[in-house]
This record gives sequence, structure tokens and C-alpha cells, in this order.
Amino acid sequence: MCKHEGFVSADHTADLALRIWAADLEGVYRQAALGLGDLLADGTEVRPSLERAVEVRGIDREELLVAWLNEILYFFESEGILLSRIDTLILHHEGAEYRLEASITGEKRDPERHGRPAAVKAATYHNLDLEPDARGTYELTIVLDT
Amino acid sequence: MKSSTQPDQSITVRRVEPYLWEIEPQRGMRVPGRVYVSESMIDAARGEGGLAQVANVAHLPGIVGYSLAMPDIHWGYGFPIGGVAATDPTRGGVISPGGVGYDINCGVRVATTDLEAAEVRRRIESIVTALFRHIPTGVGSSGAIERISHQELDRVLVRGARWAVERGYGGETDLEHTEENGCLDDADPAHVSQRARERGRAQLGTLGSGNHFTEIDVVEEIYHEEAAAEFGLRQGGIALQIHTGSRGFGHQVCDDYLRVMGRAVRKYGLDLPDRQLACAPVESEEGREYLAAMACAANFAWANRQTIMSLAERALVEALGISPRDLGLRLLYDVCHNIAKMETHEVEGENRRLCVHRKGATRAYPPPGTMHPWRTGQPVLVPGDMGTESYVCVGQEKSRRSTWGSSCHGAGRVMSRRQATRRFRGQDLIGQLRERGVEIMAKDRRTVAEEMSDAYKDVGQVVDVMHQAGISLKVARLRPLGVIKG
Repeated sequence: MCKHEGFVSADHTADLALRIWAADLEGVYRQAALGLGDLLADGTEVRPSLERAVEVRGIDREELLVAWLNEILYFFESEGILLSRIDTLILHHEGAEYRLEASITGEKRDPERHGRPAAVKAATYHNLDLEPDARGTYELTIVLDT
Repeated sequence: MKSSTQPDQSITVRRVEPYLWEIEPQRGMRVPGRVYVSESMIDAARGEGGLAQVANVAHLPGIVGYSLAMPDIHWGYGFPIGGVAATDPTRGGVISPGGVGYDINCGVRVATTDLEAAEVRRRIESIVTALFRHIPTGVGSSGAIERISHQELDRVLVRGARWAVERGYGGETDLEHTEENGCLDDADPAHVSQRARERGRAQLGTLGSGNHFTEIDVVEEIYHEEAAAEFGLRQGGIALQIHTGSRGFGHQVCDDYLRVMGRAVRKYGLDLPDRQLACAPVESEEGREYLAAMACAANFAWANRQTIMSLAERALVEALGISPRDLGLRLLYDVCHNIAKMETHEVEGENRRLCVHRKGATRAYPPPGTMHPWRTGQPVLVPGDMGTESYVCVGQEKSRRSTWGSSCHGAGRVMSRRQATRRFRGQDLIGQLRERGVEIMAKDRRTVAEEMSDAYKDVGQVVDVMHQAGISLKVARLRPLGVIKG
């Protein structure tokens, strides 16, 4: 069965990359976060024990995506929180501003159960292009600085 | 605005000196590009996109002279790694966070000791174990220093390495042997986000991961007798080397200001070929605020390296059962690899104050030193690939004239981390390195696979180009005996 949205980590000489595909824009943001979460959890299972509400803004979709991913990274670095699920994710575009509201669940990293987190410094803007293709779906690569 | 750097086969270069290639201004380039590489390296530089990025940087408003790249030229974000560019603030010159990098003041320090190689080799396992115990490593690791208060963090951000000295980590003489005496004066914590502060508070005194390390090295070969003697480097001598930066604090400052600059580009109507060259005039609110925040991150990194050196000293004293005096740890020098600084340089016969970006490049000032205490020239420290070799070089007058006083910083990757992990899967790398005479202790074995020297370019070749070009001369080659990694 072919999933209509997903991620896979990809090769990039100096850094890490995520290849993301989705049927809609919300799916892109969802899969990008899940992909980053997977790298931080080293592919190990994360339990949905705690919740966080997230809100980020940007002047365009690309900036919004970078801000969203760096927010996931910040939860990990400051509180050790790994991502389990994205419960809700809503995109808004009001005038000149893009806004993302989400609620995520996860747990604090447990060195006994969780693997080595990828050493991600930040999500970058490299070749980031959130335009749909001819079929109206999205496929893009996000490069993470490591 | 899209961010696009595709390897550009249409970039034409011509050789102007045996190790210097020039890119003629084309399209929107304001100045030519100049790349220091050997003939065998130029095609790789073109193919993986470094040359295209050198050309892109030449579009920056107010850029002076050339868009430069050192022989470790390597694709990066906006600026190539190995990129050097100076802008003139009085002529609309800009400051670009991408020209500094995410790891602000990633840098390296080398300290000499009175130890002999034989005694170190005998005790290398306990030395490495002690280093690993005293110096926190790993992704998101928290520090040997208790999570400090916000007020204390402010002092770190403003005082840099001096903060560490005042807390008993090392001594006053260490500051003279650090670039900028371990502190940039225009730091202002008011321009640092709460986010960055949280990441910084937790990570002061930690090594980090990836290509960061602490090493015990043996001085294997001396190339420049006079400089080596002045630097205290002798064949068979033992040195300590520390490579790390501003940790999550710096990454956050960079990310925060890429966002600010993204807006500034629209505000000031700047036309750039790559989104990641986002910038603002140095003499603008955004420019000044970034420089003030960048200085905070630089100071954080210096405080960090000063602290870690002191922790390493304690580890060595403990492992060897000797006194600090008998250990004789003396800081040779500490250099930045990722930084932007206001420096005075001669341009067309007059002295001008320029904003010099060095991203994966090292300041390499010649003698006589006003900015450094060395008679033979400023030490240029070039850490190499894990388990192989590193170099100490010395700055020459030619660097002042040709590269805004800059040289190379190390070697870039040629293989992705995933490829490296696959290549070395199932192999006992730690055992292999031990057989080669290198004792490694890493937080995670996979880091060892990712950091194997096969995954990197040859640092010897990089250093040779700078030597042949007369920019910085080789002084000594160091080989690791013991390494700790995150």
C-alpha cells in the first residue's frame, strides 16, 4: 500500500537530509517534523506521554517550515523531548503572515530505550521550495545542518 | 526568494598563480572570485558547488577586493566553507550570518605540555578515560558546570574566556594566547533570544559531538625550526588539542538572525542569488544587533574552550598522578574558524575598517604581532581528520596582502555520515584505530564511523596549498595518541 505522505532520510555529504512527500501542505509540515523526530530518536519508539502546544510564524512557507522544525529541535535540546505524534496541525495564511498551530505528543528521552540522537544544529533553507508539482502534490528535500 | 546553489558548470576559472584561480565577474558579481587550490582540486571544487557559491558571495553589497575561498573549499549554506569575504560598512557593506555559520566561533586551541611521548603512550588508556570522565560530550549534553543562572550567563556572554579564568579555569596568560584575548567587546546579551539563552545555560562546559573532539597529540615532525621553538613545539613533545564551538547557543543565534535578515533583505531591497546569503548593512539596526549577538556566541565559545582546557588539565593530572606544574600545560593559541570581525586592512593604499567574514577559515596574521604575542607570526591551527594528523602553521605577510589575513581551517567531508556508517558497518573501528596507535573513546560508536578519515578530504593537501602559496607556512605536524568524541 502506498502512503500518500511520508519521509525518508537521505544522503547529503556534509549534513543530513530528509526527503518528504505529501498530498497537501499540512502533510509536508507533519512529515518533516516526524522525520526530524525520527532522527532525534534514532528510529526508536517514542511513547506519547506528554503534550505540547506549538505556534510558529513566518513571512513565507519556507520560513515557516524552518521555524517549525527548529521548534521541534528546541524542545529536544532544552527539555529532552522526543516526538511521538502530531495530533493536530493547522496552517493559516493571513495577509503577509503564515502561521502554524499544532499540538504534539512525545516523551523525555530515556538513554536506556532511545538511540543516539542525530547531531542536528538547525534546519536550513537550502533549496527549499514549497510549491506543489503538476499533480498538486508535494515532494521536497530538507537539509539539516549537522 | 528561492535558495538555490546548483553546481554550475558554466563558471569559468583561470589560473593566476600556481595555487590561485580567479573567477571573472559574471552576471551580478560585483568583484572577482579567488580560490586557493591546487590543480588537482579545482574540478572537485567546481563539481560539488563550491565555486558557484564563491561567485554568489561576490554579489554581496559593499564587498571589497575578492570573494575568496581557501583550499578546504566546500559547499555550505550561502557562503562556501573556506569562504572569506570583506565588506566596507561605509560603502553599504553588509554582514551576513551565513558568512559566519551556525556554529559561531567553532574553533580550536592547542596547548603544549612537558610530557614525553613514551610515558603518555604507556598510560594512554587511563588518560583517555579520565578525559572522557571530566569533559561532558554528546548531543545536547549538559555540562560539568551546573546550569548557570541568567545573570551568570550574561557575564559569560560579555566576558568570554575571562569569565572562565575568573572562575578558576586556567590563568590570565591564557587570554593573551587567545584570538581577541577570548572576548569580543561589542557583545550585548540584550540582542540574544530567550531560546538561545536556554540552550546556552545547559551546555556551557560541554564538548558537543560530530567533528568536535579533545585530543592528546604527539608532535611528529617539525617544518619551521624558528617558529616551532618560539611556540614550544618539539619533536616527540605532547600537546593537547580542543575543537569545539558555541554549541546550541550559537546555532540558535544564527537561526534567529537568518530570520531577521530574511526580512531585512526585503526591507533594504537587496537582490541576492541565494536566500542563505541573507544580510543587512553593517550600519543598520539589524546588522549591529546581529554583530552584538554573534559576539555573545563567540564569547560563549571562548569561555567553553577555556573551561574544557582546564577540565582536561585536571583529567591529565589525575590520570598521570603528577602536579599541574610538572604537567606544564601552556596554551599555545586559540583561533576561531567561524566568525565575522571588524578589522583594519589596507585597501588601495589606505587603511579601511572592514567587516571580514571567515566561514571555515582562520585568521593568519604575520609578524610583528600587535594582535598576537608571537615574534614569528600568529599560530594557525588546522585540526585534521580524526585519527590522522593536524597541523600548526604560522601566518605570513602574504596573507595580509592577499586574503585579508586568512588561511585554511581543516578538511571538509567527502562522504555523508550515512555512507560512512554503511562503509564501516560491522568493523571494529576502535580496534583498528588502536592498532594504528590511536586510543579513542566516543559517546557512541557510530560517531566514530561517521568521523573516519576516509570520509574527509586530505588536510595535508589543504595545508600544503597555503604553504606553497605563501599564505601560512607549516610549522609542525601533530598525530593523535588519544581522542575523546561526543
